Amino acid sequence: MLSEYLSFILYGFLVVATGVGAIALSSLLGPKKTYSKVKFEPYECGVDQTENPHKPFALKFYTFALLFILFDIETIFLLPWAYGFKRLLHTGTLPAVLFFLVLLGLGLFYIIKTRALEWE
Amino acid sequence: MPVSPVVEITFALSALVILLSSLAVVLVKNPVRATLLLIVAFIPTSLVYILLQAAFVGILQILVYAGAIMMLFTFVIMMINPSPKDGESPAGGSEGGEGGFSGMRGALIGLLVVGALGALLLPKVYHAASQVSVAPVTKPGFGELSSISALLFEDPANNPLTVSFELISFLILVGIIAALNFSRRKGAEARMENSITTRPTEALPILQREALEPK
Amino acid sequence: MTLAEFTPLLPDLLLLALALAVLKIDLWSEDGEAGFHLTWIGLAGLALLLAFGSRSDAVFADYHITAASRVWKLLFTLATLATVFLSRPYFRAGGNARGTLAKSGAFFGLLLLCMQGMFALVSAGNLIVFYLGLELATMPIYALAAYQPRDADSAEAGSKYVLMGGFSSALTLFGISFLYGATGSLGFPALEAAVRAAPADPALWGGIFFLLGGLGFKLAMAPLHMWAPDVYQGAPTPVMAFLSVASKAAAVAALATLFLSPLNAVRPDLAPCFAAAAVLSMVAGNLGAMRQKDLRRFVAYSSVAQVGYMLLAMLGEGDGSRAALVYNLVTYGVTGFALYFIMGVIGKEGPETMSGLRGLSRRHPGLAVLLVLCMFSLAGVPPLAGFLGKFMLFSAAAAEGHYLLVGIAVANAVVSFYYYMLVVKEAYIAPPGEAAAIRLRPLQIMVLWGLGLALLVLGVCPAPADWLARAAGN
Repeated sequence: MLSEYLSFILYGFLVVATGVGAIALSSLLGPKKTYSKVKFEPYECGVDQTENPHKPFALKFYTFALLFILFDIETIFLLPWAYGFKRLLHTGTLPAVLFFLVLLGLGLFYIIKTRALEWE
Repeated sequence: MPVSPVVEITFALSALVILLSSLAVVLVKNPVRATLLLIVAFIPTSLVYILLQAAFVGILQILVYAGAIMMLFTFVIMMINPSPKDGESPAGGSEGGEGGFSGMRGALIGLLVVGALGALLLPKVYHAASQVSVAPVTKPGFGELSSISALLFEDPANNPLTVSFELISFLILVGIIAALNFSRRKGAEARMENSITTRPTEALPILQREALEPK
Repeated sequence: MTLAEFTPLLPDLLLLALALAVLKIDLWSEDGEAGFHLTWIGLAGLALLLAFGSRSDAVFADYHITAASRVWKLLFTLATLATVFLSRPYFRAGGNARGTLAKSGAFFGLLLLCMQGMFALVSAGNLIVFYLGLELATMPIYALAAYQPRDADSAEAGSKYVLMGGFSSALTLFGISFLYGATGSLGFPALEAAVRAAPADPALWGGIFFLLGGLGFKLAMAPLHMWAPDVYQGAPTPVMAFLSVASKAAAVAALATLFLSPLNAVRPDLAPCFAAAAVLSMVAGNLGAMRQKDLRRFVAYSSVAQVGYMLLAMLGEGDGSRAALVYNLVTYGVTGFALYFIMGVIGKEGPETMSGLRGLSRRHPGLAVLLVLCMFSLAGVPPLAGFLGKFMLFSAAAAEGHYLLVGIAVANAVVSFYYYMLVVKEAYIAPPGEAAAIRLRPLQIMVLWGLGLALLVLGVCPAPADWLARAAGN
């Protein structure tokens, strides 16, 4: 059982090792920065920073992310069907899946019609 | 069949990483780090699923949770943009609000409840678990896409999961409607609100006169 | 499968079509009027179809259409219909002092999809359908509770309900996984056989423990009721009405679906648990309701107490309990909606609080009389609907010999009389402020008369109770 996934797991370890290794090596071998308070002060006649530059951004993108997750979940349920498509096509599954798809298609229609996907 | 030591070691390591990173999620003060640690917790969780022969679920754990949902979490956190000051008392404390628990007391009560439950349940669950035969499921292809496909879709007229499958599309539809109605507002006033920030003061012009005055 | 075989499934399909139609029509209609009319006409048709339509039972892939499920569905439909009527002024500019709700199409669509979940819940033949139905019956309410625009309380209600709902769903699902682990089956018949064969299995009890916890949250059963007052107070009044009647009925139906059929074998062992929860709910609800100034909070606590009474029926034998539960929910729904419509009327000018009721007897004597009837019915005074509902619950428990418990419940009912009378006192005795006469719309008058008559008829005429008992009992 595990042996089937051994290569996958090894691959995973390799990926992690590459990422961690790159960061670790560069911090070991790379030039060291020196930090001091002066370095963070504005240059000559510059103005002191008045507030955090990390601004919150528009809620809009949040909607996209939410909708993405919902359709992501839809895809998951279609994946097994796509896998057995040829075998399942003639077993009467089609109406059930079509029902599922039509309902979500109506959902997509609703999204488009309410112009949630338009960037204002 | 005895479980192979590779499986045992992988499980033990995964469990350790899950426990540690989950604890860190709760204890770490910076919310962005907490989110990233949650992703760290998800990866060994998926490994555990794979060990349990549920490979598909394991992959989904990465795709959906670590990939999509955590991305949304990160968006929300970046949108709210909590300053470090906000993060100082993640347990909430008892600032205002009637009957709020202080963090310590809440934690104690939680520990007591969990401890009592554990003491009650664990021996029984352990007893039940010890009676389950350790022989692995011998069904070929268990937990793989092919068997899930068969489980979900074969013989739809009598399949106990057909109705569930349709109900899931209703749930997603509800999600869509709810998501749209919370992010979409009509009218000009609403458009302002659309790009709102969670803290009104931050919507003010960046440079204020007092800030320009030399100190 | 031929088309004729789908006839018993017609109500469920019709509901789905209605929900989709309402959602779509909202995209084109400007003022939401079309959506409102389509919703109430569709629901009325659905109610007629459920009451007089096909009576044949059917099973579609673990989706059971039975007489009992039809009764529950009729109950949900009527509760939703009343909610739709109740929500009418809340979408009209100036219809409510708290602010106007927007986007009625999505509101009604979510209500209908929520109902679809309740339908699935009572028709469930396995635990997955059961869980998804429960989830579908809860998820729209997360959005609905936060429907009041630009209102901090409503947002708080929504987020609190999301957190509590998510937590309770997780508990339920955890319990279901234990049940599956213990019995190796998700289908109710197999589950029932397995439970009967090995009722002492610890894994089974782990499952029951978590299931009860999860459903207890949904039911707002003490000690898991702490979310109810805040959510009820923050949510718009129509949503609160839906929560306290339809959603509560769905939670009770969930409890009945599981513990009166597949888990029936272990119910005698659970009796102390139900008894404790019942007593706690009654006491917590009654004590909490006494000090409330806000009517929505008051309703929340009073409904917690009602849950306590309803849990008594879980101690009785199966068929009688089911009939008692349904009948009590009907009477509670009628009484509750009469009160909520009164709240809607006074909410037009002022806040929906106790003090908002002041001088009601002078502003509109008829409404004040209806309020008195409501309060008497909630307290269980004969010959009103609430009395018969409570009587059936108590007798279901007494039939199994739980006399002490029934005694406690009766004592609680007497105590509850005190705070229900406080409401009446506000309407009649408290000095009125600037009292403008209340003018009602024809629809409101019609609905209020209907509910008032139902309050009386359901209390004195046992025929509907008999019919329900026969229909729900099988």
